[in-house]
Amino acid sequence: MLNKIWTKVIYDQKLSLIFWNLILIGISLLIMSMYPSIKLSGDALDKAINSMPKEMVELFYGGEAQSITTPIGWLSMELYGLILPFALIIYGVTNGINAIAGEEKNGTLELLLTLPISRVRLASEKFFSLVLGLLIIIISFSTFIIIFKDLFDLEFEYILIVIAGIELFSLALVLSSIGFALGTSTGNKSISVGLTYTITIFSYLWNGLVGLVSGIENLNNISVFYYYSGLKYSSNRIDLVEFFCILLFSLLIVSLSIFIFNRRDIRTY
Amino acid sequence: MQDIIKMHNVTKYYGKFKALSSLTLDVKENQIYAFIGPNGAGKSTAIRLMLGILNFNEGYIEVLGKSPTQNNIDIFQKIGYLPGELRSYQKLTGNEVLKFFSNLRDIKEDNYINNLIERLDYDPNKYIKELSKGNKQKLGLILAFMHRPKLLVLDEPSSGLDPLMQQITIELIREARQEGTTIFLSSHIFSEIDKVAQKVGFIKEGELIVEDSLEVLKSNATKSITIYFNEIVPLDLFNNMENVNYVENNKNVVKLNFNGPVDAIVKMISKYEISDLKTQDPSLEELFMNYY
Repeated sequence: MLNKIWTKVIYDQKLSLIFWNLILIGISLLIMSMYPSIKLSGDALDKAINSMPKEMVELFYGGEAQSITTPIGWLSMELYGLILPFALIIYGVTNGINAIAGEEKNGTLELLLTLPISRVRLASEKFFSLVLGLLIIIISFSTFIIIFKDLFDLEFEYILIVIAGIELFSLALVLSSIGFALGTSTGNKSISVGLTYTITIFSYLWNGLVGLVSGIENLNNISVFYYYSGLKYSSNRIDLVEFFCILLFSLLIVSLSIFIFNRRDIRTY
Repeated sequence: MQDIIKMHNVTKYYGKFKALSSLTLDVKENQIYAFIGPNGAGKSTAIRLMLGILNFNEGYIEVLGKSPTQNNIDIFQKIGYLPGELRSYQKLTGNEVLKFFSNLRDIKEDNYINNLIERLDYDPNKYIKELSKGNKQKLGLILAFMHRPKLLVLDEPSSGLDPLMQQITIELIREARQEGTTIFLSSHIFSEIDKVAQKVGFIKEGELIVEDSLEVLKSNATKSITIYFNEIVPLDLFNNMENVNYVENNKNVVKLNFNGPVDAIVKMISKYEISDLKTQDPSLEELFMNYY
């Protein structure tokens, strides 16, 4: 595992990856196990949710309200609305910023850069390991949900979970890429953390609340959360144009940051 | 002899602060060059510039015949670097760090690494976070020497080491030179530089103020001589000598500081009966103190 930069990152993160997988699988299990009782007594909660403004529902449940007595409605509200997107964003942004800026702050980057490895290769492998980490976590809990969903009367097509997984990956990737790009281009961990989470929270609130403000209600498409559909009966296919635009945007900002990293001074602490 | 490091008129700014000012130095092949200066003088900045960790604002740098930029990444296969303070992966063991770096340097056999581990009495099974400063320094030395580089850049190689390990470090440096390695080192331990360096550069406030071979620097420096006469000599005995710049006359014991040849002093004292004579070359530390 210690023969390449990206394999070392995965090796370093082995405990962290196990932790994230166990936590998300554990939460998924807990929420899935609650569904049989919700199915029987969720009507009152449905009524309460439906009485709220559409924007408030979007803000608190991460998308339009679906009946929580349905399997998809329940998982969407409890898992795919807030918990999974934000868990993956936290994992991705933290590791994205740490990839270069973290090593720079720890002082380990200096020695690494005196090896016969280019900065482009170093940063590219770091980004690759970040993407790989996200995929490992998403595939793990998605597979778990698909395998065990029938055990808790959660009857729906498994493809919906696959598509929701791709949606989650897109959302986490774009914000992780912003964190990675800021950390790599500035080398400043504190500024990168502050800016990335400000962008994330602002983007989230913008998507949820902009609809309440007349005149700019159609501007929610500038938020990255606008493109996250989560888990829905209607989302049974992936919007490839949207998906590739997100990938392209992520690659573009990551490439730009590597271009800057290739030319800038390395900070010493 | 080929220049292994060439820095010509290199200037580096940190914002508006000028960290290095028109620094020019050349290190020849198989030479041990010692870079001396107080903290903040620009030693580490110069080292980071020659390793491409920092970019310079003006001037020209060539290391192993190439500019130390990302376009010439292959030169780093031939460079071993010990930073002033080694900071490595806290959660890895020494063995894991060595494995990682030897993989990235494509080192096939680990006999020499094991030899270094043994000679430096380093325990590679401990986690980096458990290591003392001295043991971290040992790991840094192994990482710098492990691939038998053509150029060694050592920032404070003996820092944190006990006298025995300092001696082993000096031996390693000497052996590397015997194998044809060029060594650029910065150090505060003057005895260490005295033992190994051929050429010395003094840096002050980002400028190289003196650069020459240790031999020449010492021969040009003020030396001292103490003469124990068997009789009381005149107080003004050495007053008219041009190269004598200080006289301390305590009855029959005279202490002189002088520059240049000792011939005139010897001729003068030969007229008197002498019981003892002690001469002292300046130490590197004294040379250093003269400049700062």
